[in-house]
Amino acid sequence: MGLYSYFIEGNVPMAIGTKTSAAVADSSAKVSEKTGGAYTDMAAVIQSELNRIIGNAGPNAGLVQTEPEDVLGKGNRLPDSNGTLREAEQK
Amino acid sequence: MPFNLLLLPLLGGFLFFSHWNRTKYFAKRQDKERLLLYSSFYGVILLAISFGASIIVPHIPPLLRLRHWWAYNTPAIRFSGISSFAFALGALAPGVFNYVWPFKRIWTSEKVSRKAIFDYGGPLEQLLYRAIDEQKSVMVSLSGGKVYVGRVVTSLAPQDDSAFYLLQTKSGYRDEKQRVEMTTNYDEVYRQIFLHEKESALSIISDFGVVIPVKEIVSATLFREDIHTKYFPHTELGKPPASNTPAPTSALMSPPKSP
Repeated sequence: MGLYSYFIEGNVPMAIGTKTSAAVADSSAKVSEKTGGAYTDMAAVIQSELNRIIGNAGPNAGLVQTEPEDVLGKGNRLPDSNGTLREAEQK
Repeated sequence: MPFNLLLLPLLGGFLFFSHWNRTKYFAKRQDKERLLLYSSFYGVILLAISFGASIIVPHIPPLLRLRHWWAYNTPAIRFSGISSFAFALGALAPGVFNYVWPFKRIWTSEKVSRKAIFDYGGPLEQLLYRAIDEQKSVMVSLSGGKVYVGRVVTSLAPQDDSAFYLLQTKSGYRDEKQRVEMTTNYDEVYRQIFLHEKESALSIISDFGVVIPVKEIVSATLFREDIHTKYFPHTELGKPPASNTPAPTSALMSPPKSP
């Protein structure tokens, strides 16, 4: 239970106008087929904000790290040990 | 053709227009009259295809048997087959175009919906979409003087553009000189909630979301805290500027002022 359940298993309480059905909260912009309006996952927004806040403040224990495959899928770039982005190696 | 039979191609045209990836986001932005006209337009195309098919059918034995079955097992109404076929085309064609290669590669929902927002959406809708897409914060000033900074969760819908949903990260007000004074920084609040309410942190934080009514908005802009802190030293005219180093995060900030 806890944040693992919220972020990984998708047991996220719904807020107004939010959707979280994916296993991992998806922070990309989506457009509703019903309304035509753009939206994103509330869980992803909160996760992003917590990463920004807690990540700057100290150890981010309990926060879920993005899967490497997701990072590759988004931009095909991975962070170096010194924090700079580099092109992912082609397998 | 009896006029009442034209209803079926019209319905087919509506189904096609409102479900095909290429047109469905455009359809969301049409008023009733235009929606009817576009549906009629696609209905005429479907009817023409159906008429064309009726010419070919006698030359294809399996389809000819289907035609005979239709003639003997449905009410004897002239052109009902052509009209029904036009409706069926309108209902099934979006599935083909949306899910069958190569059509699904040409008109993807993501590409078309984004294009619809930037081609037909208003400046506010485009700004909110950009904030979601680029994961940036927006600063919204309301007519009552209240100012919110936060992340957009749900943007405007074309047919109900009355409000949008924001997860606030800062709030404040505009003073008598219309400068922004931030009074509450939610970073520390969220951090404390995360540290002490692990089981229900997400649920609690999501409750901080606020619905912003569009008619109350005076201005809206993307907000970058680092740039805002660095380049707006928040000083009174005639007084020396404050340091450019970012202020530490705290639950109640000393009220910075921006021009």
